[in-house]
Amino acid sequence: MSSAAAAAPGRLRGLRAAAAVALASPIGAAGAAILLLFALMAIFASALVPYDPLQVQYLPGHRVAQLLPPSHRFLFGTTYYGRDVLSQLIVGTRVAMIVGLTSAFFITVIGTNVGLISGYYGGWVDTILMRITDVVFGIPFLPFAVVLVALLNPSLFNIVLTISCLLWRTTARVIRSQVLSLRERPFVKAAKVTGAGDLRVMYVHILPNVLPMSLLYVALGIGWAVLAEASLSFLGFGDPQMLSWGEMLYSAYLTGSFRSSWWVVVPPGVCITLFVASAFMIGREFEILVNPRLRQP
Amino acid sequence: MVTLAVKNLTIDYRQRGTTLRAVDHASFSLADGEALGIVGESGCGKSTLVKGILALLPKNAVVADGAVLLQGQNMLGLDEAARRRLRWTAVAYVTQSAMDSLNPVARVIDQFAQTWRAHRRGDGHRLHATAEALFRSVGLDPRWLGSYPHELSGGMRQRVIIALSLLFEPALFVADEPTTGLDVIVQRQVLDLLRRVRTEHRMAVIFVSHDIAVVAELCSSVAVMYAGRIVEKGAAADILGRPCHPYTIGLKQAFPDIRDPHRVLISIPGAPPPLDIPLSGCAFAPRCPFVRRRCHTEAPVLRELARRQVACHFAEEADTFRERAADPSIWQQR
Amino acid sequence: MTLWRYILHRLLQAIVTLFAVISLMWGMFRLIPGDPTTVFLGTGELPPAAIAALKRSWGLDEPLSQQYLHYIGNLLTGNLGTSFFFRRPVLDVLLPMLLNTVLLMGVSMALAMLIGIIVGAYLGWKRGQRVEAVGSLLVLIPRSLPIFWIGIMLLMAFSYGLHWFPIGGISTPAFIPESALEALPGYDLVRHMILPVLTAVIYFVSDPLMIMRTSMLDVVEEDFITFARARGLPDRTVRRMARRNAIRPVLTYIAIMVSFALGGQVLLEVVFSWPGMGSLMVNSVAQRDYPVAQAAFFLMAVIVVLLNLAIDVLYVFLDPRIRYE
Repeated sequence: MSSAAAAAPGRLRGLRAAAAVALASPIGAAGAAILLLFALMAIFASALVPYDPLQVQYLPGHRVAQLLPPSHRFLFGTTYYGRDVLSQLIVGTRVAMIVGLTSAFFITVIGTNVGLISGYYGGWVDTILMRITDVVFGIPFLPFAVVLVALLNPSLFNIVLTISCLLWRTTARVIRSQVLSLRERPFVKAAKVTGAGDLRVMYVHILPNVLPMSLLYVALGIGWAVLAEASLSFLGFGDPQMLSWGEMLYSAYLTGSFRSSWWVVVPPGVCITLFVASAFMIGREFEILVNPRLRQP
Repeated sequence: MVTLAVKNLTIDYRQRGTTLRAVDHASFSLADGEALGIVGESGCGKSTLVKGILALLPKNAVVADGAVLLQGQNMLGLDEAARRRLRWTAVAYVTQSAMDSLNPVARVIDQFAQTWRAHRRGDGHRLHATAEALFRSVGLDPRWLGSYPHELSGGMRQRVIIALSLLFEPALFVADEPTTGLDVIVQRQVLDLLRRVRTEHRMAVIFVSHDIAVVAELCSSVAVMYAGRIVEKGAAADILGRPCHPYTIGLKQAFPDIRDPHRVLISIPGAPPPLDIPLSGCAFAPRCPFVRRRCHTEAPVLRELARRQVACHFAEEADTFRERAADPSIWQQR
Repeated sequence: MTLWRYILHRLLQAIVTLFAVISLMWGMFRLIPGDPTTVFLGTGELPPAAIAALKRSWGLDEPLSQQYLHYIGNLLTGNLGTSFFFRRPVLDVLLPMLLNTVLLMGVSMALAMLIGIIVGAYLGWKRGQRVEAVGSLLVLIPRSLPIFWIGIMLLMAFSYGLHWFPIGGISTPAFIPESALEALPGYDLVRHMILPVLTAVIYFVSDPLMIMRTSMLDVVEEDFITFARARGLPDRTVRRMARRNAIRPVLTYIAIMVSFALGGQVLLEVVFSWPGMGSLMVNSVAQRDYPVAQAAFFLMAVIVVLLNLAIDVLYVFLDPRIRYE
């Protein structure tokens, strides 16, 4: 294996090397740092929240602390129902991380494998897989997601399932075209001549070379998934058991509180934006890795 | 009349902090109708040199010194608009990848028209006739004028480029590896065409190549480049017949000679020096089989010797060098 | 393969894809738990006989395979069924909504593409200069903003805050123009469109922009650009050449963009109360009004597939090399 691997082009093998390269630049590092912060928030949420996010807060005199602007008691104010916005924000990180990471993982695994198999084998395998991909491309994402989540019950699991079922399509097409060109390279032919089986050639020789592209789509996938979950929650199809930033916005919209109280609208949106932007920033670094011409001269 | 005079042209590339000196004080001149060949291995700076003459350098290249006098005018001193006017009307430039030089989404005749319009206003109706005549002069059937580039073969596309370059009868024709990548038969056709075109139009020609056999055939004078410097220049017959610089001697050893088919071909081991480290002494010293101490400390300058100019401290001993060079073992010691 | 055979081939592919998508959707709708009788008739206080009669009239008691055949048959004859909720033919309900959606989506996407292509080409050309580095980075931001949040923020600022624009809908009821400007035809419509279009453009501009920029970077390095300069062609001609060659990947992207745009459209219509197909679809799913939901979905799929086809055909005209594949 070692000699064939040594003959393979592609500047690096292994996730670690890719990660190191991507994080070396200021943009990638910033993105990673922000995501790390969110991760910590998610993990230590129960310790960090100043109040129970679902508990109605009261002012002296048994009045509900409804729609209070930010103060030192409630750093980001309160919602229409009298709940602390900051606590909700912190807890909402969990949903973003879970949905983002798992969906991105599945999108990339499914998409890369479909692209790999389709591009490598060609022929009718390729035709069938690409027709399926065409059909999936023909399905507009959000409308379908709405139907699917209505069909099953709104839950995080189903949301992740929906996102994963649809968004692998772009990854598949892109990986496939890369595989198509790699397939003709001498190192692949050399591997075949020395008796490597199809699976081996695909996963041991070709895969490391499409890995940077896959990683790019992991990063993009995190961004897409979080936006998708936020959109579904905003439409009212989010998981009622788990509080997410999208649901915060749903509530703000439904109750009309957004008209007067900016603090129920701005923070959740900023969190979503920051999260997605940092995923895209990391993605930008992988994009440069895949296409070095994009590097700033 | 001197068509082109290059004086001390020095070109640097700037890349993220480091500076590479790609061309180091190159000077030569070209008279009317003269054909100059510039030879050297890949990376020696010959392409950069000609791009510098045409002022077509990429954005990270800087002309650090020197002048380029095209028909008396200094190209480097003109503003971009004036340079643009000179391009193609006074000097034409044909490169190696003619396959890709034509706009893939436009028909050939449209590209002629576009070039015409860029320099002449009006007279558009004569264009089609002119293009047809040019096509015929390069041996192409005029019916191909309406086709897209990908519908033509590589050799045909090369001819289209040559036809295009004759549109304004430029005084100078610069060809940078125009036959590289073509098969032998097409190469022969293109070379014959270039020779005929040159004599018919009385153009001065600069022919850049790493293949000295081709240069020998087409050019009356030769300049040999190494690591950005011109190390030997003069009449082709003199330089290629009796080279004085060790590098030129080595180049000649590497090419087969039809008169001596059993001669062993020798390649010069090693590689040219990296361009970002300033050189002290002769650039070829690390690879030269005749190197002596002075070569490492003092850079040789071009000087007149044996009817040419050569940059070597010990060029007087060229006869001895040439004899010894025939022995493969002296080239292996590095 | 000649041009016509290629088009025919793609057309057939499109039809097959469309068919597969519709069948898939039909199957999924049938799997949604609950059916209109339970939802509309509330807590089931109707006698079972009445429920059965209702089901029969809607064709819900037939075996699934028969229902499917009926559905396809109806589709082919242009019959989209009758809405359970509105008690009117679906086509009547859908058509005005479709027009509203197409209007909003069409204008937004066209503007987003236009701005994206122009700015992207500019950034790609100005490679290596500060404006390009900064611009490429800034573009990440609109891409990360949730579209509905942009909409809400704009509403907050300009409608509720400054009262410059209406808070939603497509028209002002009983609108009476009070000045020459207001009397211009379409004034009311345009006023209602500005915020949703602005939202959509902010959201959708970044992808075509980045694709165009990357494509320009690739093209600018190509030999025919150097050769064009060597021929003494003026800078703007060379730029135009570069753009013409660089635009192809952006066009391919339009097809994908429409798919996302439809999703964005749904969110936009909800936020701005725009009476279009998107909000109709969401509501009809919630109400289990199958015929409307299915038809809305069908139309969306048709839009996506047809646009894909149009792009493929357009591509052939733009790149003469493709015909010979």
